[in-house]
Amino acid sequence: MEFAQGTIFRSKLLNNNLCLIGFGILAFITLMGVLAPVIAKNPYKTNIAERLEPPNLKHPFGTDQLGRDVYSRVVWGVRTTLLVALTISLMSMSIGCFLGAIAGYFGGIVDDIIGRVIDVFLAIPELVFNIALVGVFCLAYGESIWNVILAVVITNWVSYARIMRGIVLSLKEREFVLCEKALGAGDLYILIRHVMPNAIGPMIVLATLNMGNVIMTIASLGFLGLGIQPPTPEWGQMINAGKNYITTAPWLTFFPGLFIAVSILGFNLLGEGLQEVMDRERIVET
Amino acid sequence: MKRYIAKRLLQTIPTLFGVSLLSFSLLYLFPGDPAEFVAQIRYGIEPSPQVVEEVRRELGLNEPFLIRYVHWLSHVIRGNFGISWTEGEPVIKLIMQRFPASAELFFATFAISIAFAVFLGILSAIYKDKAIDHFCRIFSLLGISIPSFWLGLMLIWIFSVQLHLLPAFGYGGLRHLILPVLTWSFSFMAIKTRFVRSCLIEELSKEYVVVARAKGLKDRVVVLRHAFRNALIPIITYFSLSIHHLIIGSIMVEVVFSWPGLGSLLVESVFKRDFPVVQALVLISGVMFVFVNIAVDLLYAVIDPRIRYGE
Repeated sequence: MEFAQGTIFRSKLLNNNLCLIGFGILAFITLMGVLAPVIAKNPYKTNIAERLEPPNLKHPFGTDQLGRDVYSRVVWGVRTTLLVALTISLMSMSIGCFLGAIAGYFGGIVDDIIGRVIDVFLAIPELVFNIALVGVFCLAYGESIWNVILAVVITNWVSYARIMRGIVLSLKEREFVLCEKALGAGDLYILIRHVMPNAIGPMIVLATLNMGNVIMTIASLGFLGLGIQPPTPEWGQMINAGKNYITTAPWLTFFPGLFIAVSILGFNLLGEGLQEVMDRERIVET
Repeated sequence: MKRYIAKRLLQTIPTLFGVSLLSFSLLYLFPGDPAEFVAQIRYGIEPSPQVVEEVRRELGLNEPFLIRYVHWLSHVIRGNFGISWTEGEPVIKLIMQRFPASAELFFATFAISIAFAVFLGILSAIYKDKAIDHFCRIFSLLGISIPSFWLGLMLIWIFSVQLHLLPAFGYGGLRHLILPVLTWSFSFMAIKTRFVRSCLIEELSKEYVVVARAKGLKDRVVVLRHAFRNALIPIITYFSLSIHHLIIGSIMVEVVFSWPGLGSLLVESVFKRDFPVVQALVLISGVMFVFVNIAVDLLYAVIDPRIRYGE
C-alpha cells in the first residue's frame, strides 16, 4: 500500500511543471558547482594585461577589473552560495524545529516564552537586523564567513519555529497521539514517531522556499560589502565590485546577478510546485 | 470594543519590551571599549585616559547593563535616541533628516504597486489558467526571485547609460524617482498580485456569484461590484500590513540609487560604526512593525464585528 502511494505521489511530482522546471534549474546549477574544478579555471588568478575584457571566446563572461575570468568566478560562486545557504538552512531548521516543537508540545510557560521570542524576531525586519548583526560581528570577530552564517541564522530560525509550533499544536489533540499517550508512550517517542513524519512535508516546502530567501540575503549582504569578503568568489560581492564599472563593463554586474536570480527562481519554482502537490494530496485525503 | 483594544494593546507590551532589549543589546555586543572609540573620533588618535574616562561617564558607559538599559529606555520613550558617535548630533535629528526621502520612495512605490497588483490580480482571477494568468504568475515569480539591487543596476544600465533618459542616482525631482520606484515595485507587487488573485477566486466560487450570474448580470458587474467588493477586506488588510516599510523601505534599492533615506543611513552607520544610530533604526523599524500590525487588527475589528465578538 505504501509503495502504491509513493508511486502516485512521485507521478504527481513528475506531472507538476513547476516542480520539474525548478528541479531542472537546481540540478543544472548544482552540477555546475560540483564540476567547478573541471569546467572552470582558477577564479583567483589575476591578469592585469587582460583586465575588463568584454565577453569573448576565451572569457565567455568577460574579465573583471583585475583581469580575473568572470565565468570561472561565477561558477565557483555556485559553491560558495549553495554551501553557505545550506549551512544556514540546516542550522536554522534544527534550532527552529526544536524550539517550535517543544513550544507546541509542552505548551504553558515554555510556549509563552518561545512564542514571545518568536514575536520579537518577527517584528524586526530581517535584513535590518542582519545588517546590524553582521556589522557588530565583523568588529568583534574580524572578517569571516561565520559572521554571515551566524547573523542570518539568528533571524532565520523563526519561520521554522512558527510553522513547527503550529503543526505540533494541531497534531497534539489528534486521536492517535492521545491514544499513544494513554498507552503510556513517552514525549520523545511521540515527537519522533508521530510528529516528525507529519511535519516533514510542510518543512520540506518551507525549507525549499526559504533557501531562496537565504540566497537573496547572502547576495544582498555581499552587495552591501558586509557579506562574504573578496577574494572568495560570491555573486553579490562580485556585483558590488562590478557596479563601479557599470558604464564600461556591464558584464561584471550582469552575469553574477543572472545566476542569483536563476537559482532563487529554481528554489521558488520547486517550493511552489511541492506546495501545490501536497495541497492537492490533502484535498484528496479529506 | 474597548476591551478588545485594551487586550490587543496589552499583548504588544512583551513584544515591544523584547524589541527594545534586543536593539539595546546590539550596543552591548560592541567589541572593545566604545568610550575609547568615541574619544578617538572626537579628540584624535590617542586620547588620554582622563579623556576616555570623561567620555565614558558622559555616555553613561560606566554603569551596569540593567541600569544603562533602563536609562536608555526612559530617554527613548521621550524620543531621545542619544548622540551619534561619529556625527556628534542627536540621532533623532539624523533620522528626521533622512525620513522624508524614505517616505517619498515608499508612498510612490506603494501607490503604483497597489494599482498594478489589483489590476493584474483581477485579470488573472477572471482568466484563471489562461495565458494572462500564466503571464502574471511568471511575473510575480520573477518579482520575488530577481534581486532588486541587480534589477536596479540593469535599469540604470538601460535607461541611464544606454538611452540617457533618466538620472542613474541621487535625490530630487520626479525624474529621480522613476527608476527606484520601478525597481522596488517589481518585487513589492509580486506577492500582492497573487493575493488579490486568490481572494477574488475564492469570492467568485461562492453561491451568491452564481445567483448574480443566473440573474443575467454582466460579468463586469459581477466581478467588480459584487465579488471584488467582498474580497476587499482581506486585500486592504494585507496591503496595510506592508505600511511598516514606510520607515526603512527597501535598503537595497536605496543603496543602489544612492537614495538618501533611512535604509542607506543604516548601511552607512554600520560602516561608520555609529552604533547609536544603528540601534535606533533597529528599534524604530521593530516598533513600527508592531504598531502597524495592531492598527490593522483594530481596523479589521471595526470593519468586521465578528472578530471582536469572536474573542
